[in-house]
Amino acid sequence: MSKFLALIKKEWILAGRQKAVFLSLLLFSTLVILLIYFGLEVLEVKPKGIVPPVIWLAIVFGGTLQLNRTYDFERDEDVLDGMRLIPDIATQFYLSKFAVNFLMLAIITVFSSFVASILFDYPLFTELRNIIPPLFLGLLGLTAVGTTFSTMVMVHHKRDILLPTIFYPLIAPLSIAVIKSMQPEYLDAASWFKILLVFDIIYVTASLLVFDKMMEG
Amino acid sequence: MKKKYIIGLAIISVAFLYLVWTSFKTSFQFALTPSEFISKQAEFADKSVKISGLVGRGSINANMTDYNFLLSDDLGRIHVHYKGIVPNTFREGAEVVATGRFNPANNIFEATELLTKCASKYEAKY
Amino acid sequence: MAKKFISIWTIVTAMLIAIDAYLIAFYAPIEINQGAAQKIFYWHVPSAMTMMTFYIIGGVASVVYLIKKNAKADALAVSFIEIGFLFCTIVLVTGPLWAKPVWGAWWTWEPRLTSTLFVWLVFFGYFMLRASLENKDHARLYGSVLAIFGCLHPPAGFKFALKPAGCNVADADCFYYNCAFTRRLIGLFKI
Repeated sequence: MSKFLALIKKEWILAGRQKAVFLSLLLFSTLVILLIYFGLEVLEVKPKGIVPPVIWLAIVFGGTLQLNRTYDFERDEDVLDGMRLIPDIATQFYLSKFAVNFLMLAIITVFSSFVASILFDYPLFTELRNIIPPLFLGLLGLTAVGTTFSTMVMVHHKRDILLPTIFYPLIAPLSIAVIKSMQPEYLDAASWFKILLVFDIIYVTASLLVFDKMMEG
Repeated sequence: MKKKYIIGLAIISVAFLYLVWTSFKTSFQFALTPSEFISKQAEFADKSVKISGLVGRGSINANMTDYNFLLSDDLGRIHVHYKGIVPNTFREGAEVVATGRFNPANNIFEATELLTKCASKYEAKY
Repeated sequence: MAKKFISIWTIVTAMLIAIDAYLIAFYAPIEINQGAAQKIFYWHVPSAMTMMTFYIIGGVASVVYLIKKNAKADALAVSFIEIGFLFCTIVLVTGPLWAKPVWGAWWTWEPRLTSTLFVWLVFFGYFMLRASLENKDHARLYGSVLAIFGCLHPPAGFKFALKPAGCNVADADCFYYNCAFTRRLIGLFKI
């Protein structure tokens, strides 16, 4: 546990040095929403149902940038090799990375929910009850898979292309589940929510299991 | 260490099996029969629903890609309107599932999607 | 020896494909509702079954690699996934070819079609990842992790989960009747 806290402290200090990056993540998500808005300009009346998918897209695109820089500080100076010398660190290390990514993505989520509801005239506060649980579970799954996958492409110089190609098809079913369960007027929303929950269980467990092996070498 | 893997694998397999099992269970749950829909009409006002029934004999009225027909079961029938290309197994007496919304103003079910259930068996044409 | 075996096997396979094509075209009857389009099932359905089997074996081999770090297990996983990918492509091509005359559209967001597309994309990414990692150990390790996620990426569960209430022509009960035709094909050889 103390190892985990130390790792979190490390992440916290490092994040503090990178406030500018954080701002550009938020800006990027806003730009995604703006672009979608202009893409949909032909629709004179924006149906309420398009806002949850727009929020989710902003999270996925903005989140990809964050996930890609998960190991920015470990890549150089062989930090990972040093990390491997510490016994039984893998799970804690994964969880610390997971926690940071989850927090960042959560901030992106809150921010882009506000931006999207302002631009699309969406009653965010009355819908909160419907969108928070699916978004939370969606973030959980997205972060679990994303953190594992960013480990794979960590040392690769084309990782910004590679990560989305291997990552997006995998989270496509998750995205469908999130978007469908955010819309209660859709009749299957409740069963999609259960499916989303099960996806999360599978992805988080599988990530924790494989990460040990990935750290070994 | 070993224990962790066994527990993890067990969780994954249970979750996976649950996924397969629920989806088997729920896959037919959401299609209503026409009579069910009529009796619960208020509940489904303004919601997208799936209705499955038989295409009434002699009820298809098609104009280019505009289709009007009656979807019926033993106890009730609904007037369905669908605009689009229909599958070529769509015919009178075929079992279809229509997805869409009911328009109470003119009592027509506006279908956005039409699927034909498969013929109960394949028949050879010699 | 192995090379000779492979070349003989290739010829045998090619001949079997030709016989199969002949039987599908001339021996199997034409289905009454769907017409000649139904005949594509003789390719489509077995390809889907092969794809599933090979992906599952590839996934299991990847798990074995991850535990044992045994290069043989990885070679097995790659070969099964490669063949699975090939059959996945066949499924994705024959599916729309069948759907156009029967459903009236090349592509519908039909659950099976959609999930097959996702699986195809996941394993496309698998080859991309393997090809672009220069360190062979990394390629094996990360490739097997991706394969495991790809196989968990519930192809089976998802397939049914998305299933619309109306069963489609490619559905289970229809499939058994399709089998009945296949049995007739097999019966031909017994005579």
